[in-house]
Amino acid sequence: MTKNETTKNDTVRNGAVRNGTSKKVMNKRMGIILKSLLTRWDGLIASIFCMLWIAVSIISLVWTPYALTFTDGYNVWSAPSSSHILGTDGAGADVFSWLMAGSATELLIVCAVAVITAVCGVSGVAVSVSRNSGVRGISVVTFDALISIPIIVIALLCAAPWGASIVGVIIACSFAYSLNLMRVVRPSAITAVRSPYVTFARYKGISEFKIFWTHILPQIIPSVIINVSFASATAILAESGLTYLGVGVPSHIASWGRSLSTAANFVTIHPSVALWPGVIITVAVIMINLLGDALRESIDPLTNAELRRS
Amino acid sequence: MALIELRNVRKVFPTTQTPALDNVSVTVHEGERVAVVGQSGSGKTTLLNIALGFTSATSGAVQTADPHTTGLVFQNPITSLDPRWKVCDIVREGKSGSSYEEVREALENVSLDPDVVMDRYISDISGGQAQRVAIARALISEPKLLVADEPVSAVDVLGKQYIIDTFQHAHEERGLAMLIVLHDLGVAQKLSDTIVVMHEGKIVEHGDTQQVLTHPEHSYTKKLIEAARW
Repeated sequence: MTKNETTKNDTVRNGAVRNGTSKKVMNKRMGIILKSLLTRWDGLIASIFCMLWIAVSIISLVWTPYALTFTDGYNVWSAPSSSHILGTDGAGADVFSWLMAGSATELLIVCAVAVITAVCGVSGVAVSVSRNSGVRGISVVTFDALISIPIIVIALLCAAPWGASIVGVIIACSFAYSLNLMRVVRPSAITAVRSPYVTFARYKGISEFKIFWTHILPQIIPSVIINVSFASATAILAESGLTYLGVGVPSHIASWGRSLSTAANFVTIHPSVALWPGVIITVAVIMINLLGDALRESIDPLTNAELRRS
Repeated sequence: MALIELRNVRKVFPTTQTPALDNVSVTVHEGERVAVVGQSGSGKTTLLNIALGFTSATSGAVQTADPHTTGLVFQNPITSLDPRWKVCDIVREGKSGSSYEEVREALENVSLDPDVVMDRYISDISGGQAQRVAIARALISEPKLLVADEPVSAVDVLGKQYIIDTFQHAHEERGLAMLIVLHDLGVAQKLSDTIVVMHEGKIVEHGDTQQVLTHPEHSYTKKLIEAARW
């Protein structure tokens, strides 16, 4: 048996294979997706940024240049120097250490919002294109009604019993962005549901779950990736806003939003202190969006020729 | 034994006053090949949708095709196949648990080289090849009945010939019954024993294909034959 035949047998072997994706083929595809991602300029830059972000977050859990509780009363609002590379804030705390520690909080919020938004959003899409017209109708009306609730209201509802918390930020952002994902992705899902290949699958008696998983989900994945990356990036901005309003990250936990909101009170006197959290938030938002765009192009066989040939 | 039976079927869509089908009766028996011809809007596709159970009839008796013994081929090969699936997976969907050899054989039966097309996506093959993939998917389960909506309208002359050969071979070898909507009377002559001529939702002529095409009785059938000659 030739190598070529072996690969094809792997693709269509009874039982062990589902839709041409044996473990071996899956690994090969993952390799192609990763290679494609890293050969694009946007994917490469965004990936490097994200790796750095993860590394800094991990390091910050065990080490920061200065402890977060450290304050130097004789050295407030100081400019960047060799001892404080991004300067100090009004309490004399090291801005770099707080931003470093804040990166871990931000990473947690971004990852949690991305996962919850993707899972809840896609599940909502599945319900809203259900074959049962009653379920479909009720879900669409419910989602349309819920989408009108602003993030701040949900954050306030979460803050009422528990006070300002990271969980509240994650719930508020995930809730709002899941609904937004449903609204944006649903038309693509409806197009797939009405396609002849879904009609064929339904006629052949294939289960609705399998049809959604194998036919509809692959069609909506590109839109889902873009929406999830947008949601993750926007979650950073939302965290900043909610923290500024006092219903976001609590004051004893470092976050980029916390650093920005602290500096914002003195922005007219010492604008340079607001600059660093502002810059890091802006760069992170851009990089997450670039990563989402590059990932969408890399993961889709319709746009990735190498993946099509694999 | 009838695989599909429609008796005095009438279909009126809520948005229109005129019936899409009016007192239509069509039966497809085992091993029988029935072609439905007529111009666009004559109700051919509505008839197929009712025969398959996709749409309900407003009145009349309907015995729909059994999904387990029926193969389906849609009109547009590009939209009828999942663009994010490989050809091997698409064909395999026609028969749950089909083996690599069965998929190869199904592709060979529609004159496609499995080594060339198996691992390709639909966007990487021609419309004619895509339609043959759709036919391979429909025939891999060796159905008793094939229901096809204008299967040759979107393919070139050579592709058309491949498809006609495939259908004829399946009929001769396994007694495949067919209900096919067609525009091309030449193809209808080759692929059917019985022809149903439809006009404005009604059957205007129904009978042996050779008889109807050589000695048409209704003026509309004569007009269709005349247009086909031109």
